[in-house]
Amino acid sequence: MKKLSRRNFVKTTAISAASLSILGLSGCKKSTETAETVKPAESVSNIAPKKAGKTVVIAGGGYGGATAAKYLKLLDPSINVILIDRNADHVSCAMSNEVIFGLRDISEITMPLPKLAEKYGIEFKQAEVTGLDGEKKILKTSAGDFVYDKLIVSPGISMDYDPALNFTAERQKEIPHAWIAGPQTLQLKDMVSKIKAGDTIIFRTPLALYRCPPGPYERACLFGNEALKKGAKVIVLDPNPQIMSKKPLFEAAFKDLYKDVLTYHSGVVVTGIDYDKKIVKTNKGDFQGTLINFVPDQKAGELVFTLGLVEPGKKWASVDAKSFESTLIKDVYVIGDAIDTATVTEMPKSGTIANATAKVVVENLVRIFAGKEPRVPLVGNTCYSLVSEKEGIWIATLYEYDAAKNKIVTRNGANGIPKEASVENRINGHSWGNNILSDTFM
Amino acid sequence: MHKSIIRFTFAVLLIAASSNVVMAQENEDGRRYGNFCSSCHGTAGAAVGDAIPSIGGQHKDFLITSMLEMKPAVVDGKEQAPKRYSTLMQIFFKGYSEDEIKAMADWYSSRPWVPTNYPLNQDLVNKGKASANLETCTSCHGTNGNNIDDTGIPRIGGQTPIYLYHALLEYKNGKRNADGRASEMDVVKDISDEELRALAEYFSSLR
Repeated sequence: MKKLSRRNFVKTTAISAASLSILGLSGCKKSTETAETVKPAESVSNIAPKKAGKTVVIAGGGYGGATAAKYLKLLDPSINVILIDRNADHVSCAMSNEVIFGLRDISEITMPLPKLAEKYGIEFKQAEVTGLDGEKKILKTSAGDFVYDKLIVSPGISMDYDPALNFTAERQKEIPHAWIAGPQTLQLKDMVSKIKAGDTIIFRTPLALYRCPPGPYERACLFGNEALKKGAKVIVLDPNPQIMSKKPLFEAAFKDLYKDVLTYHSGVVVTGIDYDKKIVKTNKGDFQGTLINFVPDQKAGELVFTLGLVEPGKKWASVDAKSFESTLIKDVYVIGDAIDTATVTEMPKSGTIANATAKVVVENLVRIFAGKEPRVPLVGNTCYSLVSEKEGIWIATLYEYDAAKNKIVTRNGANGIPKEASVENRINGHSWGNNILSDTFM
Repeated sequence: MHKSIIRFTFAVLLIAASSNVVMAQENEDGRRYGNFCSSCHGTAGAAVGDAIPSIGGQHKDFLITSMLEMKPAVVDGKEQAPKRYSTLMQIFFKGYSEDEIKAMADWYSSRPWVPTNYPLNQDLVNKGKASANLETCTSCHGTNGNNIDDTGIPRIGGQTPIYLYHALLEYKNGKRNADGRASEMDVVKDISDEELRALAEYFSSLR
């Protein structure tokens, strides 16, 4: 008898599971960026009946959550996996700079979660998460309440606007950060397409910690590339003391490629913005431009605050470095950009890390369900950036949990960047993008 | 009622048994060490892009040789240049021991080979098929690009096209001049880049 291959086995099971699952997709309301108010967790009348077997509920369908859902089903199709997101499509933040500058179409980075769910037998719910009962292990949402054995929360980031800058909702619309991909990506793309000779672009990068350490400098380079083509200028205002990732390579790009069009200022504190005259006031002087791209400082996605997974006064969710389990609520795991990376790890807030840690967490959940000991995290990060339309760069690091430090640190010195930007890196980077989208969302 | 319970139990046992069989085939350590590789090489090593190779279902001995050749050796505390060129892979292999690399090769080679679905350039495929050097390739790699008798020779039928082209250029330009089997690839040194590109597309088309 022909042995059942793992892939075929998974496929068969997934199809039968998918045919049973009900995808509540019709009549979905348009979602917004702000979370709904927290509802008290005492009302439990709306609980979906718990199915036989273990149930893992996943809140957030980005790189962390989608990978977790898919890989749980690949590892053990008998686990009930419920994936919840306020949007039916996830728009990848990785590669969204390419969309802004016309190097990829937004359709290439728009990932339909119902399609992923159907393929692997995941139950997808488009809903707002509203509360959590950590004792009874119930996640409360606008589409009903879900009882879980384990809960994975992967909400990404939210913006931490400086109140002094008076960033009203209207001004947030006028000055898109485009640091969470979606409508703002297209809005900034439109603004970029209208850049003309003599224009000045003012680009303010976020203060660390923020999503995607090399991302601001990639965007600066692509602004530079646009300025070169159109005869414009770019002023980069960085609150950080220096370039935060792939430093020698971005420095080389600023110096070699964009010397005539781009000026980079570090240690810049923005003290005020004259929105009408487009003047950015800083500790290093005032800068006037025609286009302002202000990327605010950041904190964890609203969801982890709503669910009580952030210690008072902190901006990111506290997790145990060995397991990614919340230090505040048992059986709840936080992955991706929302975790307090500064205290548990050297790893960056990147899509690749969210993807890789999701795999570690779900492997361990399956082990825990089977009565086996979980294993310590071992993950890698690869991140490609563009320095121009033609040339790319990367950073590569292998990480492992270190018991003595109780942190996730670089393994055996396996960390590096290339000597210089190259066309080959651009070509490989494009393939990397296609593969990570596929590994996560397809 | 009674019968349906028996039937249900039997079905559950059957599923459990078959999944145990499936799990037993897996090198779980290899899967753990190579868990994150799929973010670039595709789920279970089945790549979807054009330039990064598929590694799932690749011949095990070739995977081991490739990975070990990209790992920089340390002699008297000094890191040596790896035997084989890579852009970033040498960074990762620095972090793994030889045994861990073998475990990863074991896991990835036991995955199904999924031919790339990257869109083909039919003109290039035809040129590759008509190449006078085609037989030189197939004599070792097999007419379908998959010589299963010698697992030190890579499976190339259905591999991602730009990876194959870049690999051929590396052999041609002496960037893959390692001990292993690379001297056998000296045959590509007299073939033009254009013809290598066409041959790469042809072998990628064997899906």
